[in-house]
Amino acid sequence: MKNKKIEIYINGEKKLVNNNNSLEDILKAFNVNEKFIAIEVNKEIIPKSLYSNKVILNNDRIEIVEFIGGG
Amino acid sequence: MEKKNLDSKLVISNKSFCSRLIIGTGKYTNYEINKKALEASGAEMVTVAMRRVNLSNNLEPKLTDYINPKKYTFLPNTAGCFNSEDAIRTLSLAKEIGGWDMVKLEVLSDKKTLYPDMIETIKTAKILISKGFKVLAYCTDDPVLAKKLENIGCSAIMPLGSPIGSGMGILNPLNIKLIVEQSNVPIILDAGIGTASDACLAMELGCDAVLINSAIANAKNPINMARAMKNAVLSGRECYLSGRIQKKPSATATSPTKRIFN
Repeated sequence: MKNKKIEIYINGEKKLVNNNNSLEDILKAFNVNEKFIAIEVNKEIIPKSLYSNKVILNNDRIEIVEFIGGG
Repeated sequence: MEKKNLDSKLVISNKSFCSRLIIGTGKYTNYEINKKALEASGAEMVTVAMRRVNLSNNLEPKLTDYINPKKYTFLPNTAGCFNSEDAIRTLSLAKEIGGWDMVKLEVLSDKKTLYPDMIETIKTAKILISKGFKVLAYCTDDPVLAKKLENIGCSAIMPLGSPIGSGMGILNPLNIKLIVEQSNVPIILDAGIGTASDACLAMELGCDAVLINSAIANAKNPINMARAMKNAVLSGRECYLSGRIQKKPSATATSPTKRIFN
């Protein structure tokens, strides 16, 4: 079971990732810089301090957002 | 509220600013020009939007690489939000990034005019304020609604001069003046500024600050335009504090009328 892939959604895109990954693992896998970002998993904001503890499950929907130019 | 001194600072909530010009960070050709325009404008606060991280290109330039949030005050906005839920979600995420609690709330109504939905704006502002946000509310130029926003605890009122990005200037100077006169929180003219004289007029009417994006970002020379806007805001402020003459329908001679020889 440990190496079974799960299906998750990051910013609306379907991704296959390893089972039992933490949110921190996911960020590393997709080369996402943790500086100046905020993350929701299933519409719940995950504080930075919990990235390493938050286990990502099958069908989880992750939104990773940042500041961009705007008026 | 103290408005009488040219050197008096713009105070929003507990934060004070020397510059009365706030600039947006949207629509620039690139962040490098945005950064230079910001420096030329003398602004200390910028509005920013929240969007998804681009997962397919990690090398894409990032706003925060060019404009340092430790040097400039970031004012996260809710641009693109058409309901209360989306606006609160966006600003909660902004707060999570770095504790930003001073925010620009805009809840839009329809895509053609981008006019604010004032019923949703008031409802959303109340919720955000109860959550500890300092809300700067984008609103129509209706003095009655502006007063309601102040009464529910908004930190600043941001009436539009004309539709966002239209460059039409201030279509109803009377209403802006009425809002200025009745308010005890800062009034920031937001949206519609097209050129320096529009920014100057906003300040002449007594606005505490102006927010400009398109007029600088889309100018042929955004950096020089940013400087022009800086000067316009300073000039308009000084004019307001100096007290303009009354308008009269007839002439008053400038030269003495006595001792005229013939």
